[in-house]
Amino acid sequence: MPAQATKPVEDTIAKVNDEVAVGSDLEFQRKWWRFTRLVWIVFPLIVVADLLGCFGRGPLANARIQTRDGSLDVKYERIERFSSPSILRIQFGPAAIHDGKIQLWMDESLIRSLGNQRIIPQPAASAIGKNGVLYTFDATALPAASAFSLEPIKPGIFHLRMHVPGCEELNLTIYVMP
Amino acid sequence: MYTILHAIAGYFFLVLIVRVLTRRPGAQLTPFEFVIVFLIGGVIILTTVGNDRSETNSVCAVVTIVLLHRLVSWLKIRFPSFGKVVDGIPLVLLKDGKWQTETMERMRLQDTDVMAAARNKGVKTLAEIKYAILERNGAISIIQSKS
Amino acid sequence: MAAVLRALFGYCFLIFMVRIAGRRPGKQITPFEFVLIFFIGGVTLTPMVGDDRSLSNALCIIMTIGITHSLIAWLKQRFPAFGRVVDGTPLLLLAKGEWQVETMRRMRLQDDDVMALARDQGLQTLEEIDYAVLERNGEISIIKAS
Repeated sequence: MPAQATKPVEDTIAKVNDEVAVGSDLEFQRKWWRFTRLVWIVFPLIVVADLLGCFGRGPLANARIQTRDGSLDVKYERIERFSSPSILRIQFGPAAIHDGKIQLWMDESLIRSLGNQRIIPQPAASAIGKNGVLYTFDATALPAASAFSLEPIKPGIFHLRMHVPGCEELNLTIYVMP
Repeated sequence: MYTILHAIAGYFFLVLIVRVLTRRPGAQLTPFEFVIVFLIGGVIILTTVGNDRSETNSVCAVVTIVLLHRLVSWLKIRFPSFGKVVDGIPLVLLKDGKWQTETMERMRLQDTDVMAAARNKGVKTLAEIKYAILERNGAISIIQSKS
Repeated sequence: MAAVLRALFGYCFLIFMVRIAGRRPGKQITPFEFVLIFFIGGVTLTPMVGDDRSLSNALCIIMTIGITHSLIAWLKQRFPAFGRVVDGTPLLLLAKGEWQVETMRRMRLQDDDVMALARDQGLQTLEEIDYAVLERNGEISIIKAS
């Protein structure tokens, strides 16, 4: 068997009073204590920020945007969380309804990034085109609303555009936390 | 927000369960106790996270729990009676050659457990033990009679 | 790919948290600490798995954790400064009859904690202690006066 590699014992561990080898590093420890003080300040801030909704799922994350011509009124969460369900609600205005139908065009990021799972109620028809989907809902009379359930499939910043054909377009910026 | 509240409730509930169930945590849990703690703990963990599977949620929950832990640690020092509730108190098992049978029964301990701890200290017979104390963390301290 | 990143983050995050949370002196884990570790461990692992409950995902995560663990162990050995950050450093509590007050205060220890462990070693009074050291894992080592 080959011989074990050896090294003579040297005085590598710092001594206290030149007597006891403790290896204590008070310099480092003081820095660590300063660091932990910072941590204990940051942590409650994180919790408060979360409660407020800065990371999604809270009052600050809820947003509402409307078109000036009154066709769309959207309630959504501007900060979403990856792989966590949320609902985007659209209220339609008088400018949106034509001949008993409401048409809504949504950008493809709805499906590609924001992970649209269900549309409630189911649209009567959907047509793909222009990097998006055109949904057609049967509508009787206002007020009329529909909901899109989302479950984002990747973190990042996404722009969701939507409009009723012939009306103003809305551009929602949604931040998805990891 | 729901996660944070649930984390707080879950933490206290878990402490309660572990305290009530056993005085021998960690490596010294019997397999049965271990399974129970894991099952109950697992359920609480899953329901705390809920349907929010993002890292953000988990980080916030963990930060909340750690803050809570620190708070409870501080409370234990500041209010010793609180410490008694959370950690328990040391209990005497053997005193001057007499077993404290009520304590032994309630803590589900036998003389063999005490003797095992004694042997660990190099004590050879029960007669050499003056006091045997069940510490808060489940360890058994032996104080030998000097002869 | 995302699972690997999450596992890596989760593992390092957990180590950091346990380091921050600190522990009471003593070899044994109290029920209190057990709950803490168990709970935060469980909550951390859930987003790692996410909604991917496949075996491949599980193996991928486990391997990432294993590799990260070995990597950190190697780094600790290669760079002692790194080891200090991850594990901490031994701290002097009592030296030749003088309490190191700052350390005691910051580590939230009282003389009773040190005395309890001294009693465990058969010592009866504080005078019999030469040095008391708080080890990195929370144990207190007592060096008796000769």
